Amino acid sequence: MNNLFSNFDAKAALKQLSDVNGKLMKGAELLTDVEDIDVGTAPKQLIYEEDKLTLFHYKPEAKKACGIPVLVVYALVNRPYMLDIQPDRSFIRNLLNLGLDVYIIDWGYPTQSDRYLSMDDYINGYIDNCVDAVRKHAKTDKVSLMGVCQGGTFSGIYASLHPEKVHNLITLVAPFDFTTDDALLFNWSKSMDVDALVDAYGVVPGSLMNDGFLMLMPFNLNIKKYVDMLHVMEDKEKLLNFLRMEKWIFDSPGQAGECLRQFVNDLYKGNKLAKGTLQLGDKTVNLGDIKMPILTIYASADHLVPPAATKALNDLVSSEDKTLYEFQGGHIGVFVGARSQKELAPAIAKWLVTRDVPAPIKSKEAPKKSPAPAIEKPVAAVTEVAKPAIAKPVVKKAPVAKATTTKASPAKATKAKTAAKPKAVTTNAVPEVFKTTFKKPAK
Amino acid sequence: MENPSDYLDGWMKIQQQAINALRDQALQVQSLYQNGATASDNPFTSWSKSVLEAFPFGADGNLAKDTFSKTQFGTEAMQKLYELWQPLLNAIRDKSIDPANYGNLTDPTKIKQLFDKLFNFDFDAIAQLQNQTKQITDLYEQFGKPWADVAKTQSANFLNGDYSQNSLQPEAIFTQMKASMAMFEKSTGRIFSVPALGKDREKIEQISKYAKALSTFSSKQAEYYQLMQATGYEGTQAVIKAVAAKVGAGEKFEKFDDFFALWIDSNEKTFNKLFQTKEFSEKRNAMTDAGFTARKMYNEIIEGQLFDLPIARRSEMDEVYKLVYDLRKKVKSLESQVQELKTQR
Repeated sequence: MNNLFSNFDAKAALKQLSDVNGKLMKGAELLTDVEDIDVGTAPKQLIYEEDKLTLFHYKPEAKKACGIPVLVVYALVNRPYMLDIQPDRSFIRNLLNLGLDVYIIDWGYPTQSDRYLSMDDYINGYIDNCVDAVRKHAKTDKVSLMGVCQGGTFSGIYASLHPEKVHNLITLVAPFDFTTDDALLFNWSKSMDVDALVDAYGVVPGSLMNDGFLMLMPFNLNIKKYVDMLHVMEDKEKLLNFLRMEKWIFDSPGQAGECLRQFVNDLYKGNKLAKGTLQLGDKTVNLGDIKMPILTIYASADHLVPPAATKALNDLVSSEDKTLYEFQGGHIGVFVGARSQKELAPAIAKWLVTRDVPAPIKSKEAPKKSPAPAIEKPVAAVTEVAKPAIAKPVVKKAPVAKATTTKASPAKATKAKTAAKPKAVTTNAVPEVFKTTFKKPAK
Repeated sequence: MENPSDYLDGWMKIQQQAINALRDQALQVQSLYQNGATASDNPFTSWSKSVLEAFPFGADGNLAKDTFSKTQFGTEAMQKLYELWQPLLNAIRDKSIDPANYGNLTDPTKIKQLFDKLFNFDFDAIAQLQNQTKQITDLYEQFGKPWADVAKTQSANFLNGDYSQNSLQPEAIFTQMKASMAMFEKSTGRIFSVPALGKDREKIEQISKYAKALSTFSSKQAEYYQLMQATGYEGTQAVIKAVAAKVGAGEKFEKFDDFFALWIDSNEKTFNKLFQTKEFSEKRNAMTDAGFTARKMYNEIIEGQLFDLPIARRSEMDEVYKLVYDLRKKVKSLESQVQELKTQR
């Protein structure tokens, strides 16, 4: 007869038990000292605010590698500081160190007075105003949109409705095709009576949403995680890191009812975005109107937004320059994992740098709300030549000069000429990281 | 290496020693955190209580406090798991183990306690809900005493039953909920067919509907809990099978943590399988929808009661919010037009 635990050593067992108790005690002592858990510490400046929304510009950390600013659009669920959770695990700091000019939208915490905000208000209102604010602040015609999760879906919709303002589109773990049954969240959302939920609450409490997320993996998220935590509880730094993530997980803003209603009914249940029948205000959203370069990032082990929901974007857009990037990991690991810091952030920066226009517009005036279509063509030309550029070193971007041969109106030609100046490319210093060998992402 | 046959006895002694040591430590710590703790408390409880009260105020202080509570829960679950599987381990030690009887070696009551805690199942809450229904009917009985009396009797019957015993058996609770629902239909539910009583009839109807909605919610909640409990037992069986397979293959657990990992993994998979089913979605949605409906009705009752008072009601505030929303949009649109005109100049 086998004894399952015959390898146990009694003294070791005592040690194990007393270790656990000791760690709990020490942890309690450390926890009582915790008053402030710092997150989102990368220096930034407020440049625009509207209702509960605030728009920040991060202080540049390195010589500019990109003329086109990057606007990060985060999801309405949870808070954007996850991208800058701690200095040594900061997606944002990484992008800044690689020479990107980064802006970020903070949606704030909706209250009952925001219950009527719709998807149209968020996308054609807030995001559009933020894009304009960034264009004005950075003195550029266009921005590169980087949407995270639901923010990625919003960014895709925005890019299809306002392509003249979006130079590049990057989506990170963002759903576009909601027909997949690969994830519990998708299944549950499809059978949920969101109308009853919204009618009962107005602004749906974040805690209610969070309970749903915890139910996805109840044993791991409610028990194992905290037992595992005992092993790091004695170490103040590790404990603080754990608490930063806890802070983020349970810092859940409420959801504006009308927006949530449409998101669930039209997208999760109706899959209208992929079908091309989504209506926002008086406009129908057609992802086929997206022609700018796109980078679609999905996580292979994403239990919240499965790859099938994310990858679909590349089949729905008309862009010729489209890249699919597989991140080996889960939904959250995309932003805070070690691999993310080491691989993903540089990959994004490189992708952006190779699709940049060399110089910002010279006009001191604020860009118009709806810029003339004249600027669209030259950028398209740049896109065209930059198409295979993901594997190319930035310094080889000289073929941009081809853009000047594009037949365009005088205004367009001037613009294209500006874009074609190789000098501008070399002016933007190429960070060392881009010169190193870079593994091409799996397609 | 200890004699394997004496291992578990040794383990129990060691655990007892460790708990005693923990209590000694707790008493020392308690002296540092005297606020809130009384001498009559269990030392560990009072220690926990004192520690929790020692956390600083403020958002992050609360987060640290919550995290500590969750960690305590995690370790408690681990300890409960150890207790739960003790008979199985004893059987292994006594060499009396028979894979066919593994299931009999686990105590269903302890399994239930573990799962109740994990999923925040609280059968007392169901009783409280019934009590709430009773209080509501008490409050408004002036509007329809005869019907309120019936509802009161029905709630009292439920509360006076041998609830504590039944609470250990989800099936019994479920049956009781069904019976309670049927009683409601036969008593208070009849109010819908009564003729008009005057100006307060609407209020009585609202209250009755709300009471009915609460009963429906309780019933749906019990059905949901029953499903989760049944899956909990299924998960336990899966662990037993996995252990049996390990025994059969001549493998060993190197430490309790390994067993804990197997338990987590096996249960997670079992529940994940349930979560994928249509039955789960239907039962969960039926429960939440019933809850939303009850909440909506409660709001309507409050609305009705506040009607004559100089207090803004929810529906009025909603109108204000809508107005503010529309005005915001209008102002933004006008501002944008002004800006455009300025630019054109």
